Parts: sequence; C-alpha cells; structure tokens
Amino acid sequence: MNFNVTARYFDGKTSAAQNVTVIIDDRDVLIADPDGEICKIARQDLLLCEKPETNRPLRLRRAHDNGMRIVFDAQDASSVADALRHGSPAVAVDEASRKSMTRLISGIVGFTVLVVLTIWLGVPVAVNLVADHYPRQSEIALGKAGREQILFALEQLEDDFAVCTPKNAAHRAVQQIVAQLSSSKPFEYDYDVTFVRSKIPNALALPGGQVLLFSGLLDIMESPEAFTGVLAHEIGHSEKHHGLRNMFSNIAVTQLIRLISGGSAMVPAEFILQQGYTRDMEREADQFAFETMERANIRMTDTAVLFGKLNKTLKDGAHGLDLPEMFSSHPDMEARIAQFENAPSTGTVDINGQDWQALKSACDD
Amino acid sequence: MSTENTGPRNDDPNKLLSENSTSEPTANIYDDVTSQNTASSQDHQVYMEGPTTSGTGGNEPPHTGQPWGNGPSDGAPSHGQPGDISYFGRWQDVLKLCCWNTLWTILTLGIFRFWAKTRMRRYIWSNIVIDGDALEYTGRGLELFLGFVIVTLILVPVILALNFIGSMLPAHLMMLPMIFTYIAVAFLFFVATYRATRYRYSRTFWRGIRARLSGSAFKYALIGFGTSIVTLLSLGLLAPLGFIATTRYQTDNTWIGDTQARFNGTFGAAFKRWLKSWAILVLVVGSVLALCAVASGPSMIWLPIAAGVIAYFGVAFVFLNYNVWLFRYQADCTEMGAIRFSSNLQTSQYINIILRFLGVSLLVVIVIAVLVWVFGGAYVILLSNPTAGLTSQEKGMMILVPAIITLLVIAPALNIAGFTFLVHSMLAADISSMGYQGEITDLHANAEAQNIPRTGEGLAEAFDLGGI
Repeated sequence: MNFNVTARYFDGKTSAAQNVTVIIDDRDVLIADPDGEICKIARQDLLLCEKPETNRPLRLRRAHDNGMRIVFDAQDASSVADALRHGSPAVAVDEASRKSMTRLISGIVGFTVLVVLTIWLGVPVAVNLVADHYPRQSEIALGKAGREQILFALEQLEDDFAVCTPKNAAHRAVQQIVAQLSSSKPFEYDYDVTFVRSKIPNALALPGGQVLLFSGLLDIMESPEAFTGVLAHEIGHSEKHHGLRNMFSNIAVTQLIRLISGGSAMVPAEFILQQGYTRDMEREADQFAFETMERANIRMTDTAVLFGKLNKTLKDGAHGLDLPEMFSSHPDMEARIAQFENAPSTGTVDINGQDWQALKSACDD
Repeated sequence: MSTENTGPRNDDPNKLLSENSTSEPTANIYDDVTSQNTASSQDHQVYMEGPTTSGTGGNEPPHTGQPWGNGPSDGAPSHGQPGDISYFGRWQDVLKLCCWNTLWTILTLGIFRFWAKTRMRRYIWSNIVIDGDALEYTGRGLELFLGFVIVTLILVPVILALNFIGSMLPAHLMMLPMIFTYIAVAFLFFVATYRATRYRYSRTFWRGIRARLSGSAFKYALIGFGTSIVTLLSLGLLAPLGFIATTRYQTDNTWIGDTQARFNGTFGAAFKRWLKSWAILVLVVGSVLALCAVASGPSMIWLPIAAGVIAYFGVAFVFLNYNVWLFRYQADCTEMGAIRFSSNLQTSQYINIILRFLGVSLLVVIVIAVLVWVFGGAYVILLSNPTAGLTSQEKGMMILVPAIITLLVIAPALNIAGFTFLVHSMLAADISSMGYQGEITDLHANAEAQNIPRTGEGLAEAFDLGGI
C-alpha cells in the first residue's frame, strides 16, 4: 500500500524548505519534488523526531542524522503517523521502539547485575589483593598519620578528651600481653597502644599496628583477660589489614553505587553495603582474637562478660528497639558473646596485679 | 527547484495529491507538485488552532495546541507568526512523563535517569516553536550514560589518590586535600556546565540545522571561577561581573549553523541595576542584625524572629526581581544573525508559579501525612500491644520499613511536583516571554558543527548538577 502526502523537506545544508511529495510504502519512504526524486530512504533508516501529538506537525529524520528533516503539517500528522507505525518495520522515536526498549531494559539489567557482582565478588578480591601487596612501611606510616589525625579531630570534638600518659607499668603490661598472644605465631607489626580519655566505650585499630583505647572501655573491664580479648580483636584488624581494606572498599563501593544511582538516592544501599563489609571484618577480627587467645590458652569468658556489658549499654540506648544485623556495623552481639563464653581455654594473662592496676588506671590522673 | 526561507505551509494536500492513493504513478505526482511548490510561507500555519480562543495570557498552562505566554486574548492566532517564540508544553504532559520517568528510574535503581532526562528534553525542545517550527533534541540516553561512566572511571583514581594523600598528611594539614577538592570542584563546576551546554547545543536542531557551542570549557571556567572570587571578595557587590563575562563568552561562542550569536550586554548596565538590589539587601540584613542586638530582653524575643521572616521574604523578592530583570536584559542584548531577541518576563509570573508550587507541595505533604496517620495508626496499636509478642528486632523492622517506604514516596513525589510546577513552569514562562525582531534569513550548516561530542555531560552528572 502506498500513502502519498505533501510535506516540507529540509536538506540539512540550509534552513530553506522545499515543498515535496512523500510516498510511504511498506519498505521505503520516497521523497520527490517537481524535478524528480530527491531520495528514497528505507523505513528502518528513519526515526520520528518526537512522539506524535494531536494538532502537532510530525517530523522525520534519518537514524544517522545528517540534518535532513521531513515535516508533515499538523492536519496530516496523525494519518502519516499511522502509516509509519503500521508498516514493518514501524518507524519510531529514537530509543523508544519496542526493540530499543527491550534492548535498553536488558542492558540495564545486565549492567546492574555486573555492578552488583563486582561489588559482591570483585571488590573484596581486588581490595585484598591491593592490601596484601601494599608496602608495609607505607602502611605503618599511614597508621601513624591516621592516629595523629584522629587524635586531632577528637580533641576538637570532645571537651574532656585528652591523650593519657600511663605509667611504665601499663606499657610493660601491654607488651607482656602482646608477647603472650604472639608466642606461638608472631605478629606482622609492632603494636603501639595509645590510651585516650573519653567516655565512649570503644577501641580502634589503625593500619600498621596502631591501637587507640578509650578510657570509657577501660572503666568497664574487670580483668586483664577482658583487656586481652579487646586487644586481640584490635590486633586482628591490623594483622588482616582491615584499615587499608576499609579505605579501598569504601571508595570502590561508593563509586560503583554512584555508577548506578548517580546522586543520593542510593545512600541507604551504600550504607547497608558498607555495614556489610565492616561486619565481615569484625567477624574476622573476632575469629582472629578467638584463635590467638586459644593458642595462648587465655580464658575468654571475661571478654564475653565485657561484650555483655557493651550489649546492655547499646540496648539501653536503643529504648527496646533492635535493628536487624544488616543495619549494624558489628555482628550480632548475642552470637559474639556465645562464641567467647563457650571457648575451652582456661589460662590467664601473665601480668601481676600492680601492672594490671597501672593499665586499668592509665587515664586516671 | 524552488525553496522557501521560512516557515510552514498550509497547502491543502488534496490539491496536490489524492490522499491515501495507492500505487499512484510517480510522474503524475511530480506534475502536481510543480504547480503548487512556490507557496509563500508567511500565511501558513503548522500548529493547529484550538476551537476556542487562543493565547492563554499570563502564565496559565495552555490547552492542547495552544501556547503559554502573553498572546493576544482576542482569539487571533498567537503563534507561528514572525516574531513569536512560543512554548506549547502542558503541565499535564510533563506530570505524566515525570511520573513514568520516576517509576522507571526507581525500578532500574537509578540507571534509567539518563533516558528519562532525554525523554523530557525531547518533549520540551519539541514544544519550543520559533517562527512556526519547533526545536528538536536528538540526544540519546546512551550518550549520557557513557559520558557518566567514562568520567566516573577517570575520577576513581583521582579520588583514590586524594584519599591516600589525605591519610598520609600530618594532622594539622589533613584538611588540605579537602580544601583542594572544594576548590577543584568549584572550578570543574564551570567546566562541567560549559561541556554539558556544548553537548546540549550539539543535539539541538532547528529546521535541520545543528546548533553548536565553540570555545574552550577551560577558558570559560577560568572566567567563571575568577569572577566568582572577585564577587566573594567584594561581598557580592561585583556579582554582575561574573554574569556578564560568562554570558558574553558563552553567547559569543553560540552558533546555529554558520550564524553566530552576539551578546552586547555591559557590566555598567547590570551593575547599575544590581547596586539598588545590593543596597536593599545590605540594608535589610543590617536592620535585622541591629534588631537582634537591640531586642535582647525576653519580652522582645519575637521582634528579631518576625523581622527575620519579613527580611527573608524581602530578600527573596529582591533576588527574584533582579534575576527576572537579568533575564530580560540578557534577551534584549542577544543577537543572532539579523534578529534581536527580547523578553517581557515579569516578576509577578514567577511569584504566581512559586505560590502554585508551594500549594501543590503542601497538598502532596498533606496527602502523605494523612496516609501515614491512617496506616501508621495500625502500626502504633500493634507496636504498643504487649500481647502481640513482638521481639525487639521485629519492632525495629516495623518502624524502619514504613519509614523507608514513606521517604521513598515523599522524595520522588516532591521531585515530580518541583519539576512540573516549578522548573517546567518557570521555563515555560521564560520561553514564552521571548520574542524577536528582524527577519530570519537562511541558515547554512557549518562543517565544523559535524565535529560533535560523542558522549555527553559526564562531568555534570558526576557533580549532580541537575537541571533539565
């Protein structure tokens, strides 16, 4: 079937229009002026410039755009649109044909799967590879600079904050505990514990053997074994290069999430993914502490008691509400407590009472 | 071969051909065309008139086939005539498109946004009618997507390096990378804006002739960044300097085919107008600060608050008024070939649009609040019922999940309202306020215009610059 209609033709070289006759058949669109045929274009090489609208002109262009335009008057637009849509192949707006939409959706699904797989499988492998081959001296320097930066930031944020100056006995006790923990399997780094005065019950591990221990946590420790549990956990973070891995994975995950979502729409997903990474590292550090204390035959029930106290503090602050593990940076506390509670080791730490008191009162000026 | 240099025709096709004829002999068709091919363009009409009066006046949305703007209200045709720049977009269409785009974007976790932006641009461009012919946007979602992927891949090592350097610095210098980043982003903002404009121009056609933005994005950024610093140092007094300098650079590098645009605006004129606004701003802010200092007693606490609220609206009005003037000034000082643009945009149009947007936003918030109140009530009863036997984790989830769903509904709903009733309405008012004087002569394609960017707006998208 042929469909004939008049139109204006723009050749893409000038803005001057020519009045032409357009013949639309099943395969081609023929454009002719009084002097003869201007061109014949296969339907698959044509695109609608925009979606046809009532009382609006209809415009056609080539898929490989050279500026050529065919403009049908508003009164002819709907019949021309019908003729173009109902042939095979149908002429559609760019990226809007059924075939294009199917291709687009498949592409988006494929791309999303690729990004998700990269985040889930690729990032941990790549990040571990980089962290494992990162120069150790640089990691140590990074840890020292990080410690200074954190202390500087905490000083600005918390009025009561101060770096504590514990007695020599406290340092001796720390070195003794580290030596006992590493007796059967040496550690990669020399450990330097910095005590800071802060009400927050927390401890931090930085790359290259730097550990920050807050007095808020020291205050609720009842034995050197509990202290050893915390220290072994933080050493686990350092030995497993969690500081580096965290830094690299944060950047990689943020950029990969941005690839999909662009702006802030995916902040919750980014948060959950980051929490997932952190949680895995916490589990790994727990496992490291568990195995190290088991090798050194140091009892872990005191660490379980300490975790119990921390758990109570967290629950009191949450007013009876408990978010699922996926929203937390730490593994389920009940499971952690159970793991340490059921450990078979029964030995103690080889430090005397005076050294323990010096350690416990490291921030008591 | 005869040609017309402007506009659409209204030739009755029945005079030329028998409509829907099948297998018409080609020779006869050519013969018929010959007799009709010299029609004048001026009296032709591409956009069909509606049956009722056209020209909706003010900034009321148009009916189908009728333009926005200040057209005549006597029923005379207000578009497709020389001197007219009309906008035919309807808020109903934009709302529908926005809803579909948002739905698809959510379903595809955000990736569809590039195609959503393309669809919206295609709609808006195709509704801007100059001398009877609409603009055309030929960009593709895929180009925007690839542009963004490329820029992201380039930025990753830069971000890694900045993070690493930042972590290695002494404590008192640790803010340096952040400061550097802010300065770099401020500079790159101008680069991104110019490059995004270059891409948009390269995908804009009128009567088959491509627009183009020449010039250097780096040079534009130097001008923009430099004048921003001057503005900052002068406490805003020299703000027009940045506008005039960047607008001149951009306009003088704007082409449609081989016809170049020119901007004749001067700093003096803009400064003269800005000085009044700036003086009012200083006066208002100074008065509020003085009131705060004087009204220190507990019985006078309401005074600075009331003055602050009044000052806020006063300052907003002054800014709005100045920006509307600036838009008119920019239009009046812009030439393209033999034509000169103008605008009759009024501040009252913007105020109407903002009030309407606030009304719609309020309605959206009320509807959502009612839904939350109705459905949230059931949750509260369930949560506070001890016999329900919910664990603390289940309670946590029961609060978290509805909160996330509510946020996921509120944010897109307000985005849709914002685009449809604020951004689009302002754009429609801007465009339909414009006109031109002079005759549109033939445009010719520029060979250089074929060297077009293959991907687009990656940097702008990376900085989430937004806009249309």
